[in-house]
Amino acid sequence: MSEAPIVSIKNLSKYFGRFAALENVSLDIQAGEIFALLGPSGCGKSTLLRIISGFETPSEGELLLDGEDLIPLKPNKRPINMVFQSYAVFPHMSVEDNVAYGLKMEAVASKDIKQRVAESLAQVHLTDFSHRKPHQLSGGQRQRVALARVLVKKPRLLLLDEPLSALDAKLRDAMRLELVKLQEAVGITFVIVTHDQSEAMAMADRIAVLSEGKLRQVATPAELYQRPVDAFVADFVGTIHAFDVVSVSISESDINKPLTITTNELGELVCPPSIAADSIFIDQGVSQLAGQSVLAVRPEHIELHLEAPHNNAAINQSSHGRAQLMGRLGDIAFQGQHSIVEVMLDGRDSLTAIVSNTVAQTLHQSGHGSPIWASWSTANMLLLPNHALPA
Amino acid sequence: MAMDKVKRHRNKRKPFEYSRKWSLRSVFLMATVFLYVPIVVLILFSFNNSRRGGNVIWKGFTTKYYDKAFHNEDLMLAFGNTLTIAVIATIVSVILGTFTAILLWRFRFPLKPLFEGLVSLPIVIPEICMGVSLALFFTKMGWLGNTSDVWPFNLVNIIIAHITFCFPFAAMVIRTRLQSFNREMEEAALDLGATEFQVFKDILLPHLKPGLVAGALLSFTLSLDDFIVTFFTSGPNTVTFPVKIYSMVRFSVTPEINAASTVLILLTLVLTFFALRVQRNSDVVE
Repeated sequence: MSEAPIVSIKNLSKYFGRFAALENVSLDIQAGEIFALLGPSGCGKSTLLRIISGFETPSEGELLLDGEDLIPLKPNKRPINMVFQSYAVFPHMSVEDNVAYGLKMEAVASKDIKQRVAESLAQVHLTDFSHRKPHQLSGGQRQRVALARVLVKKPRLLLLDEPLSALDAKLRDAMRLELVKLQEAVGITFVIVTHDQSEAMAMADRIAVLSEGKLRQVATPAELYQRPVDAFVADFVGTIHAFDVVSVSISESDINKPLTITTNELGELVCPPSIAADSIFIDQGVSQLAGQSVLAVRPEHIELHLEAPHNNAAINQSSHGRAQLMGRLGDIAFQGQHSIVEVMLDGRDSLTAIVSNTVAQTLHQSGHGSPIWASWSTANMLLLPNHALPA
Repeated sequence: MAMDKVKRHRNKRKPFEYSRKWSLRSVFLMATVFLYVPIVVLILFSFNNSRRGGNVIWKGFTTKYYDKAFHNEDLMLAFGNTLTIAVIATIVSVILGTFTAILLWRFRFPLKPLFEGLVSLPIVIPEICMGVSLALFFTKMGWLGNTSDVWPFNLVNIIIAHITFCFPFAAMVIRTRLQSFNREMEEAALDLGATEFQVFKDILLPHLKPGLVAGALLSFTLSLDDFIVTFFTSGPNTVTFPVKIYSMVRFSVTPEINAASTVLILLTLVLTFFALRVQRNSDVVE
């Protein structure tokens, strides 16, 4: 990561009229990595991709490729290629001609074109289809044509706009792996735009999460999941159950001392300081934490019990480094390897917990609506600033 | 009982199932009869061996009127004029129509709705008005076809007149085709290194091909059989086929006219056949 980045974006903004599609985005993309731009629709990820490819001009900011300014270059002059969401395979040309088109535009000698096209088609396993027309191909095969067509140009950077969204579920999973393998084989830096967090997590080396035109966090998939910077990111990359923080007591002198956090539902909890997002200490004073942060837990950390784990403790009283809530058993959804169990709570949205199928079976026997206790270790919680939790 | 029910259910007719309702079937039959019987009669009577006038009573088979029509210099000249006008007007209309369609599809500019309306005005304006106004315009400008002018410049005012009412149709058809163009296709070509002109040539034009063929066919047939506008804009020495036929019919309806018309029908049929084949080939590509 210490090497110079291949793409360097500095303070990039794009306004459409008064609407800010991108606001002051700065990020670096390293050579040879798969970098994902992740966010809900309308977050500006596609605009960023179109700026890198040259179809949009930024309103402000810098865009460098290997230290060279890209902004004055037209899309057809950039050593960057793109796989479009619709694949945009030319319908009136054969597979071979589609792949050769980019090389013809470069005025590559025709015998070299032939060889490179053949190599590229072999790479995506389409050699036997070279004389077919696109309408004779399946969706997955058309995507391979779109891939071969750009890989043959050996671009410095390959942009993929929602590459898997048009494929059916089974093919999508296979294609994820194949794209990663392909990237390893060709060594070209990939930038993938997606709204699907599982897709980004499975494929990318690093992920940039965007929302409302702003960059929220750039991190590896594991970091993003375990150390999200705020409630939005935590919620977007997985499920969280968040509880509004009423008060926090932090020892200002010793940052390593346990925190005492109070929420309405869970009461007073003593938590290790490691659960707090870094930005909590950087951006916000302790006084501002109350009301502007949440204490969150992920479904896989929740354990379910048919009897109160701490018999002598009052309902919803937490202790021994564990949080505890009482509710009623809701729906049980069988997922194959595990089950998702709903815990209905009074006065707030229900919780979901991921449990093994055997546990789910036991719970199922006790019947819908029977009392149930959810508990989890406070060490598995996340203390996150809550600028804007999506509705 | 069960069988009965199934049968009755199957026999229930839907309101527009014209092949199974005698009332709709007869409407269909009558429409076909009124459309095609006159044409069939016209073709049949081009082989009628009747000497003169009327041409309504069958007097035996002959092909001599085809021979006669082909040797009628005035008629052949008119036929040649008509084809010349139609070909030039079609080419110009399609080119003009293509650029108009692209302009309206691609760009935003002030007064665009007004421009759009003006382009399609010749489609709705009565032909007689166009004929009169164009005749006045050409007279005022002194652009009257002169026999002394070199072919095809002697036909220039008719050609201009035909272009004015043909190209809006071409533009309309081509614009409809443009609606189905995926702009990502254009961006993909740019991304692969093509220039704007190469995108137009390699990507947009092939996509437009069915629209261009349809626009050309429409322009050609409109120009070929136009009477009203041509009647007003043609000079005494620049007669077209429909105008010539009109003057011949006023004199008498001979099988010669039928023969010439049959040749024209054949010509349009052949053209339509080829146009449809081009259309079908490019439809498969979609």
